[in-house]
Amino acid sequence: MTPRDREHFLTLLDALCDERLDEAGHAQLEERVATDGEARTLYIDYLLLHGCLHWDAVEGGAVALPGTLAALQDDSALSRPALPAPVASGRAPGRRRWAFAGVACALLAACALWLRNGEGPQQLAGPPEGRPEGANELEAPPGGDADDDSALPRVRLRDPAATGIASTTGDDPAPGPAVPRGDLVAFIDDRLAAAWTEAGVQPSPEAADSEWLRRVHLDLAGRIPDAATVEAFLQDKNPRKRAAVVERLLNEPTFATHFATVWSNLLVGRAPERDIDRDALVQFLRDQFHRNRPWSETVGELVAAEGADHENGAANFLLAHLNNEAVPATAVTFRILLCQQVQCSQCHVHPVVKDWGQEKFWQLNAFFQQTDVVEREGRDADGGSRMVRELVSRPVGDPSYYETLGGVMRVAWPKFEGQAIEEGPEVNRRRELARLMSSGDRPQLAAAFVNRLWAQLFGRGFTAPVDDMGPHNPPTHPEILDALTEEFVQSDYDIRALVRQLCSTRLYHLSSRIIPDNEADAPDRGERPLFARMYVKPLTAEQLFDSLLATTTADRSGVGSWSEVVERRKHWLSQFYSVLDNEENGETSTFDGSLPQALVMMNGELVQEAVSGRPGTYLNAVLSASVSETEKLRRLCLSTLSREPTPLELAAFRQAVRQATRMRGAAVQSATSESLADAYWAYLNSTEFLVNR
Amino acid sequence: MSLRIPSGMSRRHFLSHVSAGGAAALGATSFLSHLEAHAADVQKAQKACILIWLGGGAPTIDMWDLKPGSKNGGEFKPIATAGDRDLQICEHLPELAKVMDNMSVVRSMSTREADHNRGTYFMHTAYVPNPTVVHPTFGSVVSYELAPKRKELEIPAFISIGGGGMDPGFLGMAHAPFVVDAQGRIQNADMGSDLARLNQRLQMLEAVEDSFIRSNRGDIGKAHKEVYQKARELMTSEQMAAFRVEQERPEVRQAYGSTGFGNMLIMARRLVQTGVPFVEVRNPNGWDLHNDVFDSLRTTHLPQLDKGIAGLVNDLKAHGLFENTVVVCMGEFGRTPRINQNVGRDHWAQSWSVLIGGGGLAGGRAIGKTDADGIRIESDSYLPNDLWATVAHALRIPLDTVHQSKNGRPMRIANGGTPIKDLIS
Repeated sequence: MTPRDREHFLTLLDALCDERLDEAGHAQLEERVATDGEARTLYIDYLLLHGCLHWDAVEGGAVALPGTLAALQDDSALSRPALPAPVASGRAPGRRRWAFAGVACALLAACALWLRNGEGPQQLAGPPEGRPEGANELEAPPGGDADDDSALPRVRLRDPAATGIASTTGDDPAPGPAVPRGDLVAFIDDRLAAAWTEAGVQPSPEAADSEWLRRVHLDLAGRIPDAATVEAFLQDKNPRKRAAVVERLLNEPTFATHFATVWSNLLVGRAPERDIDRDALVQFLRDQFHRNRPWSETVGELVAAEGADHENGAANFLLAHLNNEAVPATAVTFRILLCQQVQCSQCHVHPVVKDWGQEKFWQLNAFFQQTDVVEREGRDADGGSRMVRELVSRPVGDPSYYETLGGVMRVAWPKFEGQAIEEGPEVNRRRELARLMSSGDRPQLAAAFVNRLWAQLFGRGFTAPVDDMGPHNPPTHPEILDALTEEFVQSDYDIRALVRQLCSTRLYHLSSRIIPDNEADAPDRGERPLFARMYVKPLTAEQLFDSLLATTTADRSGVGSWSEVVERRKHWLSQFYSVLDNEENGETSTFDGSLPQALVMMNGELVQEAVSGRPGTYLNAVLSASVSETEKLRRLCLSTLSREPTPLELAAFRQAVRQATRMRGAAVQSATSESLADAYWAYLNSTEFLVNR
Repeated sequence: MSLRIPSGMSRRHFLSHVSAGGAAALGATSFLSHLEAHAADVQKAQKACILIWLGGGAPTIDMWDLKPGSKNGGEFKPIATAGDRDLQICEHLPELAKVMDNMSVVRSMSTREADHNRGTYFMHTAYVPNPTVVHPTFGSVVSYELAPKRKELEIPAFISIGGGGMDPGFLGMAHAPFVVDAQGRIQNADMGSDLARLNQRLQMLEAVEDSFIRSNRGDIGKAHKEVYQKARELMTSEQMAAFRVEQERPEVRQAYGSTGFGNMLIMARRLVQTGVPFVEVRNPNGWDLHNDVFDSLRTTHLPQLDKGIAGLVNDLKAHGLFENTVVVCMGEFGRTPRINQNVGRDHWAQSWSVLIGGGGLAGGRAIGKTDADGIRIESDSYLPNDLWATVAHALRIPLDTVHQSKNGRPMRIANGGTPIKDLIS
């Protein structure tokens, strides 16, 4: 066949598929198929493909999915009008297409038998794998709308056993200023609901299982679930399955790794240029989170650390910030660990909080004036020589000196929140600071952690910015912040318990979909957040990288070892972050949804490898599975977005396969593989992949 | 809005079609070269701004407004320049002194914000930070106003060389600075497949994006779409050659001082030549000079700055671009007149200077005045609002332009600032 013949022949086939082929066309088609072997093969491949695609497009969105799967397809409701109605309603287009697909398949089966002597493609033997024959007639989709609660197994959100809180009051709501011990989650739900009522908004409906599962994995494990995990969860009928997932994730090593990532970024930033052993710090944090050590203890070890960078991981926090007379260490301790912005009061009284004078800054600074950073020759892991940096406390410390705006020199001695410490050779100032930071029944240290964790899980803090707490910036829900802080302190800073509680709130299970009744809840527009839905959170660079690895199994396809993966991640991150040259050791990032990030996703090595289909990649495994093309697309979608493809996506996919066959003259088999790779690329490049919804 | 169809056929595509057409294309080719010649004229008349950013806050009292005889005066002497008699600058800026008839110094900036982040925000946006709204950095404002009028521009209208971090705010990610490193390397711009394949992928992406947008989860999806459109355009554009400073002759690079900073400025000139209306160049030196301010200035900071900016002014003039290109050089604040115990200067926003010129603004002038110790302003004082209003005026962006923040609040361009009279008359 010449290219022109081929083009003409494909036009005829297209027309046939669209049921607009006239008599003359039919005759032409018949003649070619009868006389030309190449045309015959093309005819079979093409019709087989379109038969399957039609089959799945008609069935896939609405009918053939078992109930639970249809339920997870939470976006289908909006696109539904575009779909042919379910078979039961008997609307003509749907039935005709369906019938056409069936006829095409039957015809093809016959052809295939004739041509290939019994080696007909397996797809013809029945409907695609996993779809019981006849299921479509028996089961109409339940209710249609996936956000409809009735279609979902109800999750008991306040399950005392699951939350680990001993309930004394049962299910009775007990509002009021005093929080009944043990029903903190109910209290939070109640206070949030009261604020909704007051503001005249309604909460969004409960999140579908697929939405929630992806969310909880990103929040607690730092990456998306793989396709198998999604499938298993959707099939699971256990009404307490969500609580079980939270429990499982809290105890997996990924929880500690993820939280160590979050906190090492806060403590020393991501830019690789700093002169510290960042890995040792991460290792220290991971170990603390893994053993669920009290947060006050972790902070104490960071603040009071002694020793060399590689021997005591905690020392790297201060090794990074003791430059410039410990001004960065002071500012970072306030901003990161206490969520207070006092860096401007190093030169003058805080512009708004008049009580925060210069002495507040310099009195904290004085705690660091007993410590030297000592450099000495040492060995690195490969036996080479390198400069080792070490924190060493002197027996006696100096005061801090500062200058007022009027040019008067002042002296500051260590003092934290008005409490001075004794001076003497036995006193280690930083150990004293660690003690003072966690003393009292509601220390700012605890409130700051609660505020940060709330922001991490719910997309917004009680204050905006999250690290600017103080009398000038009252929290949105003071009573919730206060109750959580109190509970956190009483539990001896038990981080896992706190996460468990927040994941048990009603809010954590709400959809992120905006409904007309909560459009007014718009922190994007500068309004105070009401938390009437889960806010969409952009993925961090690490979440994105780890999710890319999770979906593409690039970690298993390329060079294998874990340390190589870690190196690769560092290298990948380094393209987004660089240090700013100022005394707060700040840094700047292009990981902000702008062009460089888009280019990384479109053309970067990792994505290119993922869509290459090379052996060992997830795409390769999907392509070589003997399942229908639509099932392949579905697997790609599950592994990236944790949901079913929408009808819109199915239609676009079908269109793409056609185009690839037509325009590019590709063989049908390679056209579908190409289109699947393109679809995979599209899923990885989508907004939805880049956010935690 | 469709992802896969480019907003305008790029020149390269047009050319490839033309050459495929063979003989019939002859007429079209000559027509095209005519168009091109015309386009070069048009581009010369196109307004632009180059912002040279001295991150950390430069000690302008040692650079543009010296105080000989004062206890705050420091180690450097002022020298005469090609500008007005009272426009004297630091002795370590000799090349720049020769071209100061083109540039002016505003010596009475008073900007309140003396914290790095707040100052950087204020000087870039003309608004003080506010937790309920993110204001656009001025480069994004220029991109928003001028990009739609430059159909032939295929690369982003706001490019930041060696920097980053500034936010387009409520104007949207499509107007974010496109950040490139000091060498102009654009990572991942090679698509590794052909255009047809890219279009196929974008077509599929469109379906996925539409599905997400329909799910009603806010406007993040819309911004994403715009950014991808830009990426597609950029990946297939010949204008990317503007980033290739190595294409310049060695003499040109020497004229800018043969430094990394000089190369960044050459890139800025090439970008302006291509039609980019706003380029920010981040000076690679750290200016947060709490210690040893004079040594640092004398040995590294000033010599590089001197040759670089003088080279830029001369080169822009040689290309006929200077009359349409505003050059601004500043950081987030100045530094304390008083010299501290570490022979450094600390943060100071009450009285400091900015270098500005080109784009039709008056050159050679010293505008505003500080007292003998550099502490108090003895003339009208200026805010970033006034500075950016001056730039807007030079770029012919109407000063009554009002943008809308996400919560519907009207935001006047340059926060309602007034152009600095002595620069525009």
